[in-house]
Amino acid sequence: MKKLLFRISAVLVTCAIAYFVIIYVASLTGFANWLPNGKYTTGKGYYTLSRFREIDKFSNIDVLFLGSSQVYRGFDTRQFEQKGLKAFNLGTSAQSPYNSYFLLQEYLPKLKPKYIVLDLYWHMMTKEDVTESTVDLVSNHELTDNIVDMALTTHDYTIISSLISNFVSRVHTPLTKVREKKLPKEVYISGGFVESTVPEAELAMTNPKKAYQFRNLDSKLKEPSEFQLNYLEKIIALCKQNNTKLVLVLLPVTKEYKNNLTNYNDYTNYISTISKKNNVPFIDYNTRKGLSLSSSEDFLDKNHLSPSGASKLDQFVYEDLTSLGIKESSISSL
Amino acid sequence: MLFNSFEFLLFFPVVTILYFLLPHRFRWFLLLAASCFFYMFFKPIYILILFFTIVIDYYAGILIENSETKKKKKFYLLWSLVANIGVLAIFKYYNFFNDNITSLSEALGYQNHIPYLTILLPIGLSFHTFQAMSYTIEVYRGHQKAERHFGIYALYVMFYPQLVAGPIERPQNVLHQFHEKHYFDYDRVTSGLKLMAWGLFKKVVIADRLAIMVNEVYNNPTHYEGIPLILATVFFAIQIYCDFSGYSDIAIGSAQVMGFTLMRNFNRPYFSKNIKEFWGRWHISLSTWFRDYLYIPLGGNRVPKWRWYYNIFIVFLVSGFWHGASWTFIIWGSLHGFYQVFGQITGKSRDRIVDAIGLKKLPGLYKIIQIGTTFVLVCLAWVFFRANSLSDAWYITTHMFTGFSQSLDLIVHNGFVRQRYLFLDQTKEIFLLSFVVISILILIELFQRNRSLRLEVKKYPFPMRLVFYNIIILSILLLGSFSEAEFIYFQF
Repeated sequence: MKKLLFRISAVLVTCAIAYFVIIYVASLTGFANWLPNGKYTTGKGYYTLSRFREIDKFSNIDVLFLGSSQVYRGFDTRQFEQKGLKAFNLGTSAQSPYNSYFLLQEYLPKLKPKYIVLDLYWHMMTKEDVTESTVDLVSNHELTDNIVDMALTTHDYTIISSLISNFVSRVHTPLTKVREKKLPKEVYISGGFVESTVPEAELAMTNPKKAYQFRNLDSKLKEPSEFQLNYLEKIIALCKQNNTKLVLVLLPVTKEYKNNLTNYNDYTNYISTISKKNNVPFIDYNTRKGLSLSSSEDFLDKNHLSPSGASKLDQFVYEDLTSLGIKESSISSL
Repeated sequence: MLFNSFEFLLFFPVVTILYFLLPHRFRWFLLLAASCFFYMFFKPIYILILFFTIVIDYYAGILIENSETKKKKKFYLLWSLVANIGVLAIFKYYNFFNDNITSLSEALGYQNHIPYLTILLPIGLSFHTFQAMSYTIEVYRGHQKAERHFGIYALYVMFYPQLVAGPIERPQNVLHQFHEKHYFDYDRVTSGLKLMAWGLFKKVVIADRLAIMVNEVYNNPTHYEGIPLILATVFFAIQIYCDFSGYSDIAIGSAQVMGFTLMRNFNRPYFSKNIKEFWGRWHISLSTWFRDYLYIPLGGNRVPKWRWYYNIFIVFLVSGFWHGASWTFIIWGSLHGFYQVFGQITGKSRDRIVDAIGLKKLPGLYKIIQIGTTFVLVCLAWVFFRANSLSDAWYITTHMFTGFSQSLDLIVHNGFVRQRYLFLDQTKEIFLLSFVVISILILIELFQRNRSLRLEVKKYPFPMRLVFYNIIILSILLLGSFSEAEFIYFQF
């Protein structure tokens, strides 16, 4: 028995050492892509790193946008600045309410936003697996208490392993020294917006050809997951505690996509119920009167807006926020 | 409790250490309590179903043995079989039959008023029911003495390593082992641990990694055609093998650590040269169960030819139905039945063709062709096993070999499409990694043709073995998928 225990201990100790050595070497040599559980996406997200580098320069803002890629492609903060509203777009890839909650824990005290606009795109509300979004945040954010909490709360080995990988890789390359990968035909705009530089004329020509995207249209939406609903409730409570007004939104998708969904109204009714129960406004921009978007020019694909689409949307968002009183609250706080 | 869970990582060493520390007379109680705890981790209330069949079969065994006339023995055997099959029928097949009665009544213009049962299928029900049935049948046949110790009999049905997914044991092999005293034996314990580690590797590194890609395609089959459908089907063949044989390895290994010997359940099935051989190497404990308790009672091959073919087909049809209350499983079983009967009927003609074209002069090539053909046939049948519905299965089989030029064009020219359609929604590295781990599996299976990897590893000094253990554990930690995936066979 003693021999067995000694040998098991030897195996465990050598494994622990080898584990850290492999992760360290993989991060040095760029071999990390081959390790699904040792991965980190530092500098390889859709400008998540740039967003976090910039966010510390902001404080006391009027509006903070949260959600997935639709958000960082849908809310052009320049448009809001022009109209006198200080805004920051904290949308990140596949960000679900689970992630938004921890980001709010981190940034509510620093940014002190008057309004938070949270997108509830159905794919994020129905998902239980938050690996992609959490690994993106863990990889591109300093490992603060809130970010570490977010990773550990998942109890997901891949995410926890990614946390370890990030910790180890930052020993030789601190986050400040990482160069963010620039994406072709995508530009980061100060304030968190990601702008596509594909000309509209080109979009109009290529979009109809993207037949593969329209073959993959969902026809039935799943029910929102208990897990995400729980974090949505937590976000609502957190905003109330901090006296910050929360607005729930659904950003527009192409008409083809929306019309293909047989239970779209079930989903929006579900969100409306939550909104009424908690006295939080909910605006569905797929059915917003006056907002007319062209699938070929105002969208990059089935659910992401092009800059022209974002520009059209943001006019309406500005109007809605104004009618909800964002201007009055800005003036009264002066 | 899952073998690939954090809970099992604590449960197994605690139970094993207590097992060796306790005096022999208390060990059965420890194992029984641990098995109850293990099972109740899934859904506690369902343990009552297990207790129900255990009590019935325990008394049935004694009554069969004590009965003096064959008629009485038969009566008690029937009593036990009806109870076991009744439980299966209620929990597993009731809603399936009700569904089909509804469809049939609607077609005939009637309404079906039989209510649906809103119950979940108890985990591993088909496995422990079959194991319990093998006991009463063997007592009836006089091959096994009725077990008088209720706790030991309960342990025979509930022994945690093989409780939820087998191997489906026979009383002659296992019951006596619960009475025997097992001592701590370093070589046996380490050998069991190695088998467990290899089983875990197959499960989390191969099966669960491939599952991500298979699920993407099989849950949205109409989004794909051609290459992705073929890839996903081949990946599923590997996935289900690694998932189930991985489970069996962990089960056999963990039992071995405590001194129990369970039967081998897989023997490199994808190296089979025909479907008959495949079934001699795949899920051996189930196929021999059907052989001993269904095929032979039906008359086996000692009957006229037509009747023999009928026997073969019925066994596979029932085997398909055993796997699940769905037409997809019935088609899967029937396909295998058809393969077997067709193989028997055409055996001589195929031999003549092979002779005529001189393929037998090239035995190596002939063997590769045989193995390849068997694998393709098995894969085609797996489509029905994995597909979510008959219409999905039909779509997949009819679109596997279409749309190649269109897909190739898109794959070559569009990175997004390449990732989605060639790499099945994974990164290039993870996709290629799947081939690396599959290659490792094939190499190890080839190596194990005449040798045992565990015995070979044992020949090296400890520092060398340490490297081997490190490789397997680090592969599990760095490459494994830990997304709470259950073993596929739990649902049966």
